[in-house]
Amino acid sequence: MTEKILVKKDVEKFYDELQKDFKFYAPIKVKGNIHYQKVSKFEEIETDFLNSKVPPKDVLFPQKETIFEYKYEGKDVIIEERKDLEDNILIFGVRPCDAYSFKLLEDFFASGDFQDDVFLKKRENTTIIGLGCNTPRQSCF
Amino acid sequence: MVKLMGLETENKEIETNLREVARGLLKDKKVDVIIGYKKGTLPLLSQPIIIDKEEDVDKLIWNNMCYVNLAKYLVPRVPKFVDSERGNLKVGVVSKGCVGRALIHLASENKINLDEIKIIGIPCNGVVNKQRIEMEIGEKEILEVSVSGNKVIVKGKDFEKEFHYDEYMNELCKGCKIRKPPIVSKAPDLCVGECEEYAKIVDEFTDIEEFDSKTAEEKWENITEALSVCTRCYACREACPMCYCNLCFVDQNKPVWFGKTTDLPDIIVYHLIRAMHMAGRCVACGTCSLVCPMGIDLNIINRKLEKIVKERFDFTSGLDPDILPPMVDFKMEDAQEFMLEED
Repeated sequence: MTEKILVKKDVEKFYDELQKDFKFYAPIKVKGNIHYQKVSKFEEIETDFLNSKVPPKDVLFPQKETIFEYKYEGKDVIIEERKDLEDNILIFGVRPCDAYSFKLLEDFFASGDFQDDVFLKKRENTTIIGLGCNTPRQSCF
Repeated sequence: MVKLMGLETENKEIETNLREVARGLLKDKKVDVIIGYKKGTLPLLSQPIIIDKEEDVDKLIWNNMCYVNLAKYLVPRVPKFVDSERGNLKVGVVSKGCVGRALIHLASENKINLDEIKIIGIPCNGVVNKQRIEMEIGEKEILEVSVSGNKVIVKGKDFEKEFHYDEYMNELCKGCKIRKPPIVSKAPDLCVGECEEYAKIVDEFTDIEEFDSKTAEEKWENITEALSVCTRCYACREACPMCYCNLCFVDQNKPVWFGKTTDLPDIIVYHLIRAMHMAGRCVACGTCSLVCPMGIDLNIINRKLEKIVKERFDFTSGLDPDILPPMVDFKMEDAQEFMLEED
């Protein structure tokens, strides 16, 4: 494993490059609360926050999701699978506690007789960039 | 609103009197348990507490952060206070005006037996608008909250901010007309502590004046904008004493009546229908807005419906357990202009 250090002032350039190949999710402010959503401008990204109201797991495991689509052609059922599971996703600024949650989800969806491809394929194509905590809250763990 | 005493002094007085009444009730065995508030685990929070011993009375608190409507703990969905030897226990409920109203309204719906409760009235001086204060402090941790004079002082690691209580009070508390629980004439022993007789409630609904002056399109824009961040956590429903259905309409899935997703149409439908179910029942305690993790102001919709009910039926919920709420009753003089045309 290689370790490199990026200077803060170059993070914007880092973003500019990455967002060409990745669907870039980061913490942004929506109506006074922090949410992990796709960003279109570097300036939108927040790093000075306690934590989001909805956890970043929402990016890979949203409350509502299309698993597949189907239609009838005569008596046949035609199934259309998701086409976006191979897209590269990047989630920026994830707190350590939330980062660990992805591991727990992976263990859950990969266990047993059935592998949940909708989640696991997305996870395979997802990179998570963490955000360390200088001042955790009293209630943090 | 002019405060003659500082908040701290007022709260202390209310707290001391409350504990006296509570102590007396437990000592004389007029109640078996008392539900009240205790200090919360985090600043800006309080917690409910259930006590059954005189020595625990000093755990009961009163401050401007006692948000939760305690009447919720007596609805059918919540396990009953029952003892294997004594049967149904008699419950004392620390009641600000809206809590007392909720209890009386639940009695009018036959969900509570007034003989099994005691309303411990306190002269509520309102609760803070927790959501608004948190929004203004922003992404900084609040470590300490205190009240002094007419101010709420919020402290963190590197900051201290003062909020004028009159301004940062819960919006509903600002115009509250029923600060002490109503006395029920047919049950004179029901209410102990500070309670009041209400002959007629005059409510100008000034808190929704601005909203009401908007056009229908603007109102729709406003409401749907505010609701769009809803995550369907149902904290509003769980906190509301009037939401006691064993199977909520929105949870039903045989058949699925309404969507459970966070799509805007599904969100709107949930909130508007819940509001319709609250018409003529909501006691405007504001707990729904105060528990919402996204800080949505749900009060506006409910207050608007309260205004309509007041205008059409001259009804205020939670004053008389013998009067049926308008949505379960019918009078010949009810206006029906929306259904029938005048000749």
